Amino acid sequence: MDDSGPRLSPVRALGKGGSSIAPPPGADYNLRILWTLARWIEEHRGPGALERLTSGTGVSPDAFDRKSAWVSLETFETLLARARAMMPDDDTFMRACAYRFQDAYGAIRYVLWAASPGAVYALGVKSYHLVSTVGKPSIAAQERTHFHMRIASDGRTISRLNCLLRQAQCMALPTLWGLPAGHVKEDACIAHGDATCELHFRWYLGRSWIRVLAGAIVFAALGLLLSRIGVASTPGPWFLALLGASFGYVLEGLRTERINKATREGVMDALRALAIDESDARLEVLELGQRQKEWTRLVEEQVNERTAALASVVEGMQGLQEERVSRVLGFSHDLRNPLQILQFAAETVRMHNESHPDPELQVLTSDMDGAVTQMKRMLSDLVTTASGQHGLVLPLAPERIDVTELTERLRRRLRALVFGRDVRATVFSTREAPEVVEIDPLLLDRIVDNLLTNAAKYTERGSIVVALEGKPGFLIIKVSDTGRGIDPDQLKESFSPGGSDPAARAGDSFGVGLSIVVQLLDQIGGRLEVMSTLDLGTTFWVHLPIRAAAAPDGPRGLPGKKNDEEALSRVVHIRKSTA
Amino acid sequence: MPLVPASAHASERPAERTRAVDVFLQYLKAEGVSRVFGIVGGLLHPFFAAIEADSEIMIVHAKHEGGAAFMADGYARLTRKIAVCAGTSGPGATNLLTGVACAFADGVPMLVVTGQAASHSLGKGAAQETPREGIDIVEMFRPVSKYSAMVTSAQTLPQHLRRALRMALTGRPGPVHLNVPVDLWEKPLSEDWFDPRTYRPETRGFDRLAVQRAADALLAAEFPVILAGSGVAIAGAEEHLRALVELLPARVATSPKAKGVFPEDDPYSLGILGNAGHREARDTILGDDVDVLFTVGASLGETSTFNWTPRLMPRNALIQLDVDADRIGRNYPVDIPLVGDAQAILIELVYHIHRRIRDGLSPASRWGERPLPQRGDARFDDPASPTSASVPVTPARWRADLQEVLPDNAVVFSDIGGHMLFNLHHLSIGSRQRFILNMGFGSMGHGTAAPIGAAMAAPGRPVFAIIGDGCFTMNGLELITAVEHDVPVIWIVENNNMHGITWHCSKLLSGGVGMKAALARRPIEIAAMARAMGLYVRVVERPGQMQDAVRDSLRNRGPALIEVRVDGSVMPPLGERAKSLAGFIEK
Repeated sequence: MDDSGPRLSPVRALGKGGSSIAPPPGADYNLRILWTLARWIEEHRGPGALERLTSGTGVSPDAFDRKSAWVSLETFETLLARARAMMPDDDTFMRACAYRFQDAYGAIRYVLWAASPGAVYALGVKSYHLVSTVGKPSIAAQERTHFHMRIASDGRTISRLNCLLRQAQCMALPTLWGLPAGHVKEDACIAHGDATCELHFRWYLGRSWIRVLAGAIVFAALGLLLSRIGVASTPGPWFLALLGASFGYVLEGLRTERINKATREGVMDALRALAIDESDARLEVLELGQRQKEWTRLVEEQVNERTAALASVVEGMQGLQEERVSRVLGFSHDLRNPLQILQFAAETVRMHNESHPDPELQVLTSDMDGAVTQMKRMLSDLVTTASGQHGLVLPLAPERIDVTELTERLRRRLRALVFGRDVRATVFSTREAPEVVEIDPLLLDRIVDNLLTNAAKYTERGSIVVALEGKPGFLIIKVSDTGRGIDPDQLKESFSPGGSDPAARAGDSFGVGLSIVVQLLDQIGGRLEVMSTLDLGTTFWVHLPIRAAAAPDGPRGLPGKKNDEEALSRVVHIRKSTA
Repeated sequence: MPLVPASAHASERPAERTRAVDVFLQYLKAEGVSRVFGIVGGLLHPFFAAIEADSEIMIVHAKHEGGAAFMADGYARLTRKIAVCAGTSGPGATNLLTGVACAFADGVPMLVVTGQAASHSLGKGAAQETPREGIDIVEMFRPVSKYSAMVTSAQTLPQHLRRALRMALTGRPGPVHLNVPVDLWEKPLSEDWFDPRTYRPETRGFDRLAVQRAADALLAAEFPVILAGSGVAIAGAEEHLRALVELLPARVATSPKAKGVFPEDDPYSLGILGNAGHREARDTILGDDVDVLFTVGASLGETSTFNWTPRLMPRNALIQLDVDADRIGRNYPVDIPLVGDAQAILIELVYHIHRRIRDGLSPASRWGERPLPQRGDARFDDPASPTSASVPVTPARWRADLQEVLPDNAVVFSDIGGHMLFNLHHLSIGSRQRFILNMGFGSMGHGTAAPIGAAMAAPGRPVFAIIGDGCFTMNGLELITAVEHDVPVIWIVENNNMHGITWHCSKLLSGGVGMKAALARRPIEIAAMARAMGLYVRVVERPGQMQDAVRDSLRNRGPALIEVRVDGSVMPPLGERAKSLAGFIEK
């Protein structure tokens, strides 16, 4: 079995980080073993031969190039049998099994050179499990140029082809050192019914003395011939034999030198190929990095856009909720009036009844009293429940926010909002702006998002300029757009929930955004200045206190129409338009 | 310690009455000063002793006064507040001069304090005295500072100081120099306190009508181009420049010194105009399309104008913005001059343009019809150079490697020399990054020492110094100061064993024969020297090694040095500089 296989793959696996180290369950052979065979078939049996070899086995034709493709014993045997059928005889099969053997190792063979063929045979045995789970190989004996390998059967039957493959690749091993291929002597074979395969490999090490011997013999014979035909030769036949041997030695030296030279060139080529591969890979990584950056940017823009849209929808829903709650509160208030009348009427009836007692009427009036009280209590519960849900007032968690970073964030958000439209948008901060502002980030986001979304929504053409400015104690965010503007008569109403003119709203607007901004600003002691001209544009100045402590604590009373109006007068200041 | 006056020991006792030096330090603290860069010594002893006793200000003790001035310069560039450096009398003071000249040329606010012999012994031959009638230190500082004065009495010290601070921080910022005789510091002084707001105005005036004319011209321009100079960085007007560009839109080139004031990865960026600049900037601005050219804080000197080529003039109008009226129309006839602070004027321009758009006008810019400026490697003179795989690594290649790992908020200093040309041409500075180069005076060694001050000013930002071996040998011992204070600057020293710009330029000028003196006579072992100084050291010789070296250095969180052994035969992009020099010689 394939000792060459083990050698082939494990070393590559170790050399390259070993993604194929552990065989997947149910897998017996790593297909990398058949790389040599696959190359032979590809080059000698033409295009399509590999497809014929693998068809119906579930193996893809390029799996032989991978290190991580594993197959079962059955599939492996099928592949071997099909390959054999493409060849005239066993010798061809064995040659194909060791075809381009050195290429199969790539640059790793230069690493192997540090060891001797014997050591690499031993390494192959030890790392056998990395390429195959069939059979248990062991080292029976090992000498300088001899290696006795024993492979014990694990009960599974393997074919003779499998055995030939292993022999062929083992025999080819010494060619990695530029040596002639080794010889094999086979004592027993599992394919022949034996319990083990017994393989003796012998290979040649060192110089070939054939040329030296041949030179000596030829020259000695020449000397003899010369003396025989009577030509007097000064050097004797022995000396000639020595000369011939030296000549043979020089030839052998030249041959060795040729092999060394070829090997050197091989090393240089392999190293050069490695360097080119490496630089290609690096370039590819660079390019991928660039593309990833591009993608991240695009995704970020889209996410921002969606987030802004979602935030506006959420706020719309909240506004709707708030509107419903205030209606319920209004209804509750109005329902008390008829109840009051009923209670008063019942009282009057009872007083009349005291002068002319009528037991039946008494029962009726006390029933009425009970019903009115019950309804009053239910209304009171309803008011409490509705108010409790009126959840615009959130607990605040102020943080220190860097104004430079805030500027950067607003720029991204605004860009996302106007992305792909004919609106020029820009954000900058001035040197009057404070470096840091202490504010609840969620609250800041809601305020800013509302204003930016509005600006983007109502500006079809032109520009939006956002400037972060400052005055002692305050960060001022100025949002100026060239949008459709607000009618001066409607300006004040647009800050009440649902107060804006429905006809002037954008399609997806519920007309509550600005009222939320007002409430949030009220919560932290900020203010909002606005200047707007119909069809020309709107400018908002949001004043945010730099320190959270400077803000009045918490909500100012329960929300309701009256409180909203008070907040409005506290927070909103309308500037006269100069246009 | 020599030359310590007996009274100086008083500073080690708790002060019972307010002394002149106490008032002096109080003003410094009110201006936000927390460090004084300098070298201590006898004739400034009371000043340094008072600082050492003060918990709010620390002394950063440099290795050479020149380095101290450079560090103060780097510190001020990042904080945009005043920085203080000090040297004692005589050589301690003259050593400061080069650094102060750099700050003066680049508009960096800096207070320079020098020592002087006692007022009662001046002119009698006191040790290291520099009196008016002798080696006049006050006069020496005059041409390189906005204000240079000797304080002659303790009573006038606050007045001199307030005037110095006012001049340093208003108009075009710059260094100011106060020379104080040693005996004055300890004198009692009672004085009314002036808050900084009350002695230096923050008013930034400009001609409103001129700004409106400029806004109209820019709106009407079909191919408006902005040339941004280093004045943009001095005024902190980078964002406002972007705002203007985004409204029009215009295309933007920067001068070499102002590299990065407009993000070079922005689609509207043309790169650098001038020395080591980019083809796109040159072809656009010197081409025939541009109808309005708006220069912002650019001095229009030799390096950004190709030796003052007349082709720079646009078809319709040249608008020049500068804080200094003296710069207006110096080399080109200006149609609309804007004098004042760049930030204030740009905000006003943005306001007017936004207002005009609101009133229904549309900017006439037609840049949208043209293809965007080339991006990536295509903008370089040799587009293949950043991917060169040759060993030793080429200057373009390791910069491409560095670019991959340069943090988004990095501050990059460059020194002066061949490496500077590669930095200008091959690095790309993004919107949150910053590039600093003292091209105004062009002193080697600035980019080596100034980053120490910058890293102290901005502890959260990664600071890189890309310098050459020549700069390192000139001022590299200041790296010891960085190690002493554990300042996490990463120096990348491009070692080609020569003064590259001189060598290659001399070859161009004398028909291929280089100036041999510019070559190092033996290789300089920079890594070994840095190791001996106590820095974390890496060496880069091949493509692809820079990334890990930078990552490891950043992880190290302390002073680090990466020596890059480059192929010195690669010519820096100095074609324009050589032509420019040739022009001088011909003239």
